[in-house]
Amino acid sequence: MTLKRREKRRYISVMHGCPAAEAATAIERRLQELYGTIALERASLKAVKPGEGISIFRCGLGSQGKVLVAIALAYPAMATLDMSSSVKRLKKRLAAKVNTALLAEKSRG
Amino acid sequence: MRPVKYPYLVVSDRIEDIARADLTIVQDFGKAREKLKKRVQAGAGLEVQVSQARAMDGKAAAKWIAQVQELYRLCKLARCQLVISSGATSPSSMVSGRCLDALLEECGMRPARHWAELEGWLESRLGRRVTV
Repeated sequence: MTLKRREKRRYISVMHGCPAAEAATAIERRLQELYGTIALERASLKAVKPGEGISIFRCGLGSQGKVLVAIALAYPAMATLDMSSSVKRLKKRLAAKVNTALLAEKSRG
Repeated sequence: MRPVKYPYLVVSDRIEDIARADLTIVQDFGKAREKLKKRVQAGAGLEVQVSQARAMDGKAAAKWIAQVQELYRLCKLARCQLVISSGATSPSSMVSGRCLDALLEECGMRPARHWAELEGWLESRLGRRVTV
């Protein structure tokens, strides 16, 4: 008999115009309002890399749909940038995206 | 009106303009339900904006999801196209593709099918006006 492995996780990078703590509270509040306290607990939502403008949140794989709906309907408004199964890969992709955006801005003038 | 060389859609936020506009923004489906049922025509586009639901409290946001589901059923019956847009006015209020897919699933729609139908509708609408 093998022990049940822990649930897989998803890391979501979110762009927000408010402080990271406020963004996390807004997502949690919306998730709870829409799906209830049990769903909020099951989602095990956590801000793993809170930052200025962009933060990385973690949630359970089974709850990713609910978390994405909560992010889309959260107030103050915030936008999902990317999602990955590991924070390392997400950060790598995020850096590439930021570089591309900076280059595009430079070429525009 | 002369045809132009770029794609465009005529958008209105008045249900009364549904016959003239390509896309009609539905602000409050609860109030507009009866009017819509009477006026809706095949091929018309009905738009709902996520920004409307953002400003609502939890109960109203859940009701908004249920209303989008009802509007989708109406669109299926009337053979018109439902469009869900962000209604964004700033980069942080945009809605990503994954979030839209999750919202569509929550509203009882199959995302892949929805995007395919939307693509077909857009091509047919834009094809009427644009000259190459």
